[in-house]
Amino acid sequence: MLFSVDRLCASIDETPILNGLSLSVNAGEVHAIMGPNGSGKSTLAKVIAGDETYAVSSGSIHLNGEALDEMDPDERAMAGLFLAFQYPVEIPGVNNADFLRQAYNNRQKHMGKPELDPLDFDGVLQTVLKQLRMDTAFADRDLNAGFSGGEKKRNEILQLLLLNPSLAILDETDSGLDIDALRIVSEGVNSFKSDTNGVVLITHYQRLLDHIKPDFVHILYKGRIIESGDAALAVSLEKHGYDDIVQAYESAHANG
Amino acid sequence: MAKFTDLYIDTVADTPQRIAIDLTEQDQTAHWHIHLANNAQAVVLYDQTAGSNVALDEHLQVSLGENATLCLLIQHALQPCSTINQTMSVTMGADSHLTSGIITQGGKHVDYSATATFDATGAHADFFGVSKITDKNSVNFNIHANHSTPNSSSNQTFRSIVYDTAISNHNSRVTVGRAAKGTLTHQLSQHILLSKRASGNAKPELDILTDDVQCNHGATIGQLSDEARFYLQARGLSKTEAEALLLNAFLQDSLDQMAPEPIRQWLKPI
Amino acid sequence: MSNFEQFANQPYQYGFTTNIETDAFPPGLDESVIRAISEKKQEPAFMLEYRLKAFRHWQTMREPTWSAVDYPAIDFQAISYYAAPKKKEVLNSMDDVDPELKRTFEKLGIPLTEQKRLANVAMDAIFDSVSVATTFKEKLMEKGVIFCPISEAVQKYPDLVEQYLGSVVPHTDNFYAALNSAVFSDGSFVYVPKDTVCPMELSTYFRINTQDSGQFERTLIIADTNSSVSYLEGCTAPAFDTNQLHAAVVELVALDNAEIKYSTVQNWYAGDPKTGAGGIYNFVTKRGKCQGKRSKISWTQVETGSAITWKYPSCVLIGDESVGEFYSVALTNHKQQADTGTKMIHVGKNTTSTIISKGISVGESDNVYRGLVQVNASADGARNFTQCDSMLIGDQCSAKTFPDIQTRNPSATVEHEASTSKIGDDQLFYCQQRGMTMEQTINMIVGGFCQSVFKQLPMEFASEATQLLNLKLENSVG
Repeated sequence: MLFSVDRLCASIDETPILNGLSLSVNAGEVHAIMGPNGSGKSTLAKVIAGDETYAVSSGSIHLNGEALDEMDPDERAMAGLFLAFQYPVEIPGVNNADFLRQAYNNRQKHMGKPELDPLDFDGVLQTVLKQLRMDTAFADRDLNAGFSGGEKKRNEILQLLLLNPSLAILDETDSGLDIDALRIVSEGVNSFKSDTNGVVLITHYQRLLDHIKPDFVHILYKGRIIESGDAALAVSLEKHGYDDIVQAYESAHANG
Repeated sequence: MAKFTDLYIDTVADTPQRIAIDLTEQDQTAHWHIHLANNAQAVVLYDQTAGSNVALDEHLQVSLGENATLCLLIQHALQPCSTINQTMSVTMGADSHLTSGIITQGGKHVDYSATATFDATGAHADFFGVSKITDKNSVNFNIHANHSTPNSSSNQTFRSIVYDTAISNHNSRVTVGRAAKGTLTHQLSQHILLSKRASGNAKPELDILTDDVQCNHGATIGQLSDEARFYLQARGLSKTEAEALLLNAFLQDSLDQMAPEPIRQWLKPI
Repeated sequence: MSNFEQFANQPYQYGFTTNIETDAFPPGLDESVIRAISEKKQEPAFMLEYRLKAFRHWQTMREPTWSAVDYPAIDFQAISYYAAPKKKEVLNSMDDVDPELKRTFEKLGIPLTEQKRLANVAMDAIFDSVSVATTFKEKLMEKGVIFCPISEAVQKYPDLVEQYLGSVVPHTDNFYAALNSAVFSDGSFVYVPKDTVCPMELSTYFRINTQDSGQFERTLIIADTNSSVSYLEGCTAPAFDTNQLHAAVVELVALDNAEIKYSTVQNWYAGDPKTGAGGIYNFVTKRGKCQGKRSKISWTQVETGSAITWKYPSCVLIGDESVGEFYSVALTNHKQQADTGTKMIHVGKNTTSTIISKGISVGESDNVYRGLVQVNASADGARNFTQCDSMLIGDQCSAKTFPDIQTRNPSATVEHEASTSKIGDDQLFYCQQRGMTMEQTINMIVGGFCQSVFKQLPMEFASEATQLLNLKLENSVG
């Protein structure tokens, strides 16, 4: 088992958002998590990454056999976790290339591998920029500042490829992307996928799943997973919406 | 409405209260209150007309209860050589809202000071000062927003047009205490000087003791936009007409913000 | 009579004579001390007269009390006003150097040979710091650039000194300037002749710095028509001194089309990290006169350290189309206090000034910015842009900004913006999710905040300044 979440309960400002959520991901698998707005999708991503705005009351998270629960966000990153943010924050004045190199070298150091100097790192960076069809000038800009929505999302995938984590959580990476950008981003994620890592895609729409094929699809509602299936489940959602599944769940639970 | 009588309002008033003071004969000193009870709402329009050589020394204390809303606008029409010295102190109750505006022209010297103390959370105050100063006259606006509790906010906006050898001072101060997290403040001072010997001075000060706040200020001193003037002239207005229009627009913007439609008619042309 | 007035008028108790052989004067100050200083330095008559005039004026002045900084009273009669330049103690090896100092050198990435020079460790025979300085001086002389101690300039170039000394900061300007004008010990003198670009950055490193830094330093830099020079003051290595009071005066004069760039990176070292005892009071008057048409003076400073700093580098823009600039990062931590800022005085036509000030307050420190932009009635077409930003880290520190904008000309354009910020929780979380520690994140974000100032520094200083900031931010966030 590469990654597992066991009956996780979390709240913000005393409002419960995750209510006993469980999830298991084996190495080599792609899981998609879908659900109506307000179901807790983004909260799940942030809680796994260690955002202290949320209070975890019970449950646990494990990655590569290590418990993440007591770890700070940077320790979880070192443990092999990567979150592609839905709304990547802007940090003006911080050079993109410098930031990427620092993050890369931290990971290298943690894995006992050699750190790269700016010149050598630039070589590595340029290769990935090319793969994602991003302009070389990208490296000179300030971190996410003045980036379009699409550029921010591609910057997230750029980091995914550079940092090569064990588990990648992509939080609505497809929102705001046009068709071409969507294709490039998906190619990036597919090239990252291997039989030693895992991917969790949080998405609202089926179309991303046409490009990145999921092995499992889960429906998140009111802070827990109410139904799981394979890729066909997502296709069915596209046709029928969430209503049937949600109603079935509500009536089952209304009766105690 | 008798002048200088305390005002106590405990309902949602549907028509503005009008107060008028006419200082023609002699100097006046006054100390009075406006108090709004919890949930009360009122608009108070205060006209001050002064004859030559008279002086008004006035201290007004305003207190706003929880969730109270007050719009207090003071309009001066002053003869030369009159002096107005006005101070206002405001206590802002939780979730209360204040719009305070002063519009002044004429008068040898106007010194207007206001201090707002934010004692309870969620309160918001907007201060406006608008002046048109000519001859050797001077106008000082001194506003101090003192935030000591969390999640309150204030804006201070000053616009002045200064002619001849007149002097305008915008002294704007924001204090944010250690406990006042979540405070949002903005200060803006704008001057247009129209003669070689006019003076425009601004001191937008910030005194901040905690990190979780957003406080910005801006000050500009400049002229009418040449581009805008040219545009109007190209549409057939004379240079003088164009300038008058632009100057008016400069001040009008503040007037529009402080006086929503029904009250706007009360404002005299400046 | 105030205490100060009593002191100022007290007769000198040691019955001093002009013929003195000792190396240092006993503490105390009166006219005979001034005469003795001038004689010891073998100064021409004009210099003695200048000192006396300043001293007499100082006696009528009051110590200023208006600033926001807090310091114990200074006893002016307890200071010795002349000490023969004495060599610093030479250490035998790096092992003899204070370990705290060594740790700082390493953190700042200062190369070993440089460390030795700064700590005054005896040099290997193979590497001779004096020969480096000699080559440097030769290069300057080829171009006609004069760079020497001011005491030497008073003797060798008296006309230049007489013409320009006190022309930017008159002795009447303020209390400390008056005192400095009376008793200044030494400092730098630079003259760049017409049509000359000074071939290298002038640094106080190259004034053979074997003496303790003087308390009353006086610097005078003159850039003649069409010339330019860049001068660096201070260094990132901790500067420490037994002298508590530093009242320096720096005067810059730029003639037509000339440019002077003056950069300061200061890291005062208190000596005792716990009590802060031995803290240095740094009261400096720095002013640039843009005398010529299209002249330009830029001040760039990075101030950190345990000093009480009180300085306002200013520009007086007299020549038409002249330009004044001020770029500053002031970081305060622990219990430090900084009260700093600038004055831009617009006099000539079509002058421009730019002010970018970044204040960072951490710990329980107080950071004050005071800026004056004054546009005189004669300054047609004057333009100013000011950006003054404060970053607060934690909720025990403070940031105050007191800008003062005074305009008397209708064709002036002044734009002033200020904002406060903190390091956003979402920014912290993002960087941490990318594997950066809290410390790395803060260094990076604060560095980003200071970018627009750091890029004004000469290159070697810019990377040192970044390292210095990181060092000072250590342990800043719990």
